[in-house]
Amino acid sequence: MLFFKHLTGVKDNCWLKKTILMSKLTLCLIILFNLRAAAKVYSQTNVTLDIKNARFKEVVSKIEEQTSYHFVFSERKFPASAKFDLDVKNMPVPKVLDMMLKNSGYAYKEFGDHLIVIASANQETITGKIVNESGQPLSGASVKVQGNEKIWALTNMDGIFSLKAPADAVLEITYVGYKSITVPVNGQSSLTISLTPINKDLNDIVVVGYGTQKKLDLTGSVSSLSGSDINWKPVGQLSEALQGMMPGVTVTQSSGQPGLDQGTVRIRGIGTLNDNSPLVLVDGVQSDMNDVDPNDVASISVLKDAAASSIYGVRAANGVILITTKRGKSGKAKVSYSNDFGWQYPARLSKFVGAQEYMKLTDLMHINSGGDSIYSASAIAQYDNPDRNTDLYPDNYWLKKILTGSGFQQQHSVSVAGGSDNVKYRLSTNYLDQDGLIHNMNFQRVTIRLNTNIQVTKKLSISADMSARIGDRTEPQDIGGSGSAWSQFGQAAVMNPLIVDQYSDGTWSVGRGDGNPIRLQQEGGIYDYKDNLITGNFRGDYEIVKGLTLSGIVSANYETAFNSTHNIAMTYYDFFNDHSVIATKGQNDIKKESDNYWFKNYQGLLTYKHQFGKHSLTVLAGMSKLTETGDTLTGYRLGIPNSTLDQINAGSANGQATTGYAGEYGLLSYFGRVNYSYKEKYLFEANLRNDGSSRFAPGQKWGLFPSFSAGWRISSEDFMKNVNFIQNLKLRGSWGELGNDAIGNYPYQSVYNLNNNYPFGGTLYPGSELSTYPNNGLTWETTKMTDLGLDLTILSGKLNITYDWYDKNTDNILLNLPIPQFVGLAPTVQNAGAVQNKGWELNIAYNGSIGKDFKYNIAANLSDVKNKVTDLKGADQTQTAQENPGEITTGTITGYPIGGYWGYVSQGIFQTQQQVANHATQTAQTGPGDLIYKDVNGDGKIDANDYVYLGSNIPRYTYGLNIGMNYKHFDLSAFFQGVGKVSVNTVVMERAPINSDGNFKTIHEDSWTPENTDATFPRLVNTLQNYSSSSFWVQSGAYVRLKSVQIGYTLPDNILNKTGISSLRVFVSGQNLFTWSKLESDIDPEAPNENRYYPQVKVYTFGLNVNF
Amino acid sequence: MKRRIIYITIILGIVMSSCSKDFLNKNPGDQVSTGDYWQTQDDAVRAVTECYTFLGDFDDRIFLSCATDDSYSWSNWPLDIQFAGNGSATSNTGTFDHFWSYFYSAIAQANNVINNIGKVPADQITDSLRSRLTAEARFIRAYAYQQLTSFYGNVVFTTTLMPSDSFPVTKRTSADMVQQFVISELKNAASVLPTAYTSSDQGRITKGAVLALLAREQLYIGDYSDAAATAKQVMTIGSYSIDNSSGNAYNSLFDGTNENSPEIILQAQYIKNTYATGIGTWVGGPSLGGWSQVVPLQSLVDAYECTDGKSITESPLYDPNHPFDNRDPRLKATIVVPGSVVNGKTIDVTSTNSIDALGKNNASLSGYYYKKYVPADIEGEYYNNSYNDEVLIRYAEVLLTYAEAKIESNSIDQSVYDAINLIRQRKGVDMPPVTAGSQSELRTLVRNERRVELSMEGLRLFDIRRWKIADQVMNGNAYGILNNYDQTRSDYGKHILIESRTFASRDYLWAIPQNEIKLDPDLGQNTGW
Repeated sequence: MLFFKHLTGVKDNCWLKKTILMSKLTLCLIILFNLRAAAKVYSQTNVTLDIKNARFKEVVSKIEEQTSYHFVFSERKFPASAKFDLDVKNMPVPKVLDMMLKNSGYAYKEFGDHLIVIASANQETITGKIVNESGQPLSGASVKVQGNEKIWALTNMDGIFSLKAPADAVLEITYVGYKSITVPVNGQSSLTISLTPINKDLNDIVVVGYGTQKKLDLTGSVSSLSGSDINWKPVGQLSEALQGMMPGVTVTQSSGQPGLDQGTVRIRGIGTLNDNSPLVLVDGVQSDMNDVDPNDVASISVLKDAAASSIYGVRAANGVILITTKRGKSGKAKVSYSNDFGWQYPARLSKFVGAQEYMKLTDLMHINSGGDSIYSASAIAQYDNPDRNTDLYPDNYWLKKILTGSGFQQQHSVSVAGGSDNVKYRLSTNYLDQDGLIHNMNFQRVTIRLNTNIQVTKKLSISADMSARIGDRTEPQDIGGSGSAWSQFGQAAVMNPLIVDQYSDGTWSVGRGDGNPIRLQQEGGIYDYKDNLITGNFRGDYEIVKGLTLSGIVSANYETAFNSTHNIAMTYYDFFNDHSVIATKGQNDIKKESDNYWFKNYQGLLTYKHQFGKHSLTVLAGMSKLTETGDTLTGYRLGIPNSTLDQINAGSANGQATTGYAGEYGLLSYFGRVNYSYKEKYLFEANLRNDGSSRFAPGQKWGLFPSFSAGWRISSEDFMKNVNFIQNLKLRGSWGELGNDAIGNYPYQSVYNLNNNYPFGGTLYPGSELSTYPNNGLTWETTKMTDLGLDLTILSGKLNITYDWYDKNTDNILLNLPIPQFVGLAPTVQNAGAVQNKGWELNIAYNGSIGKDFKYNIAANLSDVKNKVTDLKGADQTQTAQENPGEITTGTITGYPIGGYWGYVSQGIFQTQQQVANHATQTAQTGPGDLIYKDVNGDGKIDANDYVYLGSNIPRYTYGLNIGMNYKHFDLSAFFQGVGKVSVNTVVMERAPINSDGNFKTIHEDSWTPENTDATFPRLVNTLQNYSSSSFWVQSGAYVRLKSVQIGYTLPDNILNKTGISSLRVFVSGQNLFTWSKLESDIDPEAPNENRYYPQVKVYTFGLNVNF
Repeated sequence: MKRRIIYITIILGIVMSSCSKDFLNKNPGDQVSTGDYWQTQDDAVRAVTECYTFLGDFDDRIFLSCATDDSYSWSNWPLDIQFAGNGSATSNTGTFDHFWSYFYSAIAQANNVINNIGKVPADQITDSLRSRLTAEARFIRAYAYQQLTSFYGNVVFTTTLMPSDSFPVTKRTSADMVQQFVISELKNAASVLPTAYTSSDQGRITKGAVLALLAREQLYIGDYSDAAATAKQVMTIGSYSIDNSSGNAYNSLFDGTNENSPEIILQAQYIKNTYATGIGTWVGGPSLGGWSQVVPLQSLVDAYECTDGKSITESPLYDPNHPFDNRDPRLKATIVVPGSVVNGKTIDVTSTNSIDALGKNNASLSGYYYKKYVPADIEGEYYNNSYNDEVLIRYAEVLLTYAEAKIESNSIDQSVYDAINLIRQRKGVDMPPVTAGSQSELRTLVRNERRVELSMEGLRLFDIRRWKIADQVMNGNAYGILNNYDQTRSDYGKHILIESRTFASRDYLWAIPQNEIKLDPDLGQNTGW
């Protein structure tokens, strides 16, 4: 039975299968042997075959037809799955079989009567050693017999493998980071095989400004991602998907409101006191990254240092993000579809007290403030009775009551891509439908993109891309213009439990006095924000002579926002007083606002590439002309006769109002770049850009921004030839200048605002307000940045490390320098102040595998930036938010970070009156239970002179950790994101109310009283003395958050074979599932300062990805 | 080759298209550049109109009485004046910052007019209009300085626009000098401005307004003989009188129904819906849709005499069990007491189910509400539901200024009684006339008369400062209504205790906002802050 061993050797443990298999084969043999007797005897031994893509079984039956041969083999095993193309004429059958079974691991044996039995070839035990280029053993390398996937082995710790294979087998060796090779055994029983490393990463092409570069050749600091790094996240906004993915790129998300959940992107800290948003270019056109469907993204490059970004001159000071979208490839149309369905839940909510506790704490506050209790004991006692009259004694938990939305979201994406050699296309569309946590707070978006490439002639190619986004966001009517999210979450956070939502007979309560959020959700008007964008991007490339290409790019975006704000008048009645009218809030009115935005950009590029000997030269020259125009028109009417009508014409002409304005911006630029490299070892790059901006006064319009960078690939040097563990080592250095004109459209002009009115004799007359002083000397804000970087690839390409250190100094910051209010005018923009951002970034990526089926990758990034104001022309200032007491004081002070926290040093809580008397005077009201503030200057009184620096809300040590794993058909991705050091102002979130308008949280039960002297919080009083800016309220905001996690399963091919689906993956995933932080549980460390806005959401999602 | 040229031409054409010279010159289409202003009469008129927008500050000014013994505010928004009231304010208190910046904004706009109106070509504007507009701006600037010195004492003084990009490091100017400037400016403006305007200009500064403010300032600085003389000038203009048009005339001056009364000398004007305020919200109680943010204290209630002209401590008519009976009718015209009807609604805090009762959401913490200044109808959102004008100067104040100045300068004569009695015997008030008294008695009387007649009109704060009584009236407990109706409360039988207040000598002047001192340390802080 040795003969059958190959049939049974694979799964020895599966006795049932084995038995069936054996019986089947035995039966087969018996039948065949019996048939032989009856069979007609052929003498034919040669065959003529012309077949394509045939199974072995089919070939055999053809041979059996033409010859007297009979075959015995197992259909379940090889070679049943192999397919053959044969074109032979009158060939002897053994020769045909030789051809067919070559390298298969099988052999045939001819018995008498032309019976041929196919069985496993004679197996030899082959042992071998796999080593790297320097002779070091490679463990875990996979060794397979070509053509027979069943035979494989892995190398052990010493690089040794052993397997049984036919003597003529060809081994295929694969190992991550190395070139796969095939080695014929040729009868040898012992082999030593050396692998050559590859570094796919090093050969990666990276998108850079106005072109692409090999990653190997980069001299600037560029972080890049491929589409697959982000495509897996089921997020609605692209910026969310970028969070934590790249060092030095900080994305913070502050709201989970559908359609408003975009992240704020900061590259290398906060460089200016103005707009810190990076320039985002989608396929070279200035855009909002959130207008792109994340599924369409092919790659993202972030240009971080001056060398990389200075080609974008004036708009590059905050970094540049280049997004390219996927394009078609020639071939059959490929269709893919993916979807996801999810449910959103608030990531954190505050915990408030109930009515009884609320009354007790309010009374305590009043008594502590020298007043009497305002709730009588009998009223408090009413709450002991569950059958009490809830109209008189309500106990409402508002924050739960307002959460009426389904929170359901779904997303569908379809794409078709394909083309011929001359025309390629990719068409994609995405539909996103997100319902919020609040009824009527929803978002829907459709994006469409068509990217085409046309090769017109050999020398002329054109790309034409069109995309559109149609967004529609709704919100319920708000309270007096305070915003819908605030009118829901903000009200729920301050409404106390004694406020009724609806009386027993259905009468709505007036809420805090300005309207009832639940009624607004259910009966109010709808605010509808439609935001549509059409972009067109056309490019022609013409190769004038070899190496010299002229390109013209025309881009146009048209964005239109159409906002419709419909309010419905709501009358509230006094339930206890014959339902007399209390007030009517709002009026039946409608406002329509149309915002139009045109963006036009014409660019011309001339590129020259030349290679001569060991020298390589690329030269780019270009110009760009860009205009932006915004135009707004609003119309308003009130007096709509009923609440269901919601169009302007339904309103009354009396009292109607129109407003409108427009703004224009022009930017003219000339730029050039030279790249030179010698032997791919010494790399140089220089950029120069000259920008003219309409935002500056004549004579100041033009700015020149140079940058220089160099790279040295040490690993290519001769002396590194023997250092085999290093695959790539490159040092980079760059210096450059960047500009910024993001200061509004007309900052140098002093203007009269014409929109203030005052009535005389009952009629409004227009006023003209001088708003600022002119400053004709305004000039560019300039950022000078030095960057030193190191790229290292080791461990046979499995470990990649990138490190950058930078020093970014922004001078001439365009600043509304704080001026004393006695000047009486708003401060004008000036070139004042300088800010330094010094930091470093580290990125480590490791790709590995365990066994044949388990692959994993870990990518970690860590970065730090230290922000410091270096000069403010003496206009250092702390800003106290007076109108909103309880805010922490922020200061922009030389030597400290922008907007740092300033305040008293808190030294605990006063326990006795004696202690108060012995301490420096705080306020006349200070008593036991209040916070002790340190008398820093020792003058015996506590005032603003005792303020010290308390910390900064600019995060330091931001990190991200991406873990990906693949096991057979399963894949797991997990992404953690966090901040190592940041200060958070907790006073707004944690302070107790100082009057009855506001609700106590459960944490306030631990406030100081003579009985509870070891309390967490100071005593409750009606003054702000304990809520002054102090270190008590500045806490560490360090956190780690499991931002996304996803488990996927890809269906095996054999299931999909007949469905026409080429791949199908299903997944479940979660967003924001866990957060570790020392802050109170209702403070979201990502957006820690308020609970009166829409919270972040947790999302549980499932979905699928299909390719046809 | 030909085709190559065509391609290059097309691409270059796209690149170079329409590079006009003006490409980098863009100007706003809805604002006028400074260089293009001051060309026409309209430019001048509009710039002065802008100054008027600073006359009214209703949403904040109505809170001023909460820094006195008249009123209490529980809310720190829109104005955190409660901290100035209870003594816990710091130099970062928003109230101080608000009035400081507000009046300097007014001064800047007025300086802009005064500095630049001369640039309007003579063929564009008549001399008389130019000088009238200038005088209006001067008045508004003087008014702002008058308020500033009253709040802060020594203040920054400038008569020109200060370039904001290189502001001079400035010291404060003494209050005396600023007050002298105010007086001379007002005298100047009085010589220019008309006593009345046509109806379409109703609300502009008149000669009467200028003189009335001058009289107020002279009284404030203790220049009694000039104050009396100036007040007399106003009294002789002839167009002003105490409004006796109805029994409800007193209330009608403040509720938006009698805005053209001859008693009103200057008011900040508002229009329903289009130029509105939130006064109804701040002052009204829950049943009016208001938030009770400015509510009367017992101290003010007690200041109203009994109908016999005697104080409640002296009058036999006073019944502690019916404390609101037999009282000066202005009590119920000014303050909502249990059972008062406002805008057709009965407000009764003694009814426990009433949404206005103690402890109810947004209900008064004192048990009292103001009736004065509640608009006759309240309509709209919380911040724009009111349209009643803010009375800045009215004839009653002029009469009391006259009386007080005469009393203080000890030249008491019949004209003093006449002036006071015009007010006390207003139709619907009809309090016993004053006919005699010592200087001291009359001083007490006229001071109380100012308090009750002019309550909520933004004057009490300055009065208790200049009379140097703030440390007496502002220290200690602030009380509300007598709780003789709710036995379940621990304060049954007593007045509601709202809070404990302190008043230190520093509080006679408000603090210079801390942010200002940070920017300009030479300003210096007022003593004690």
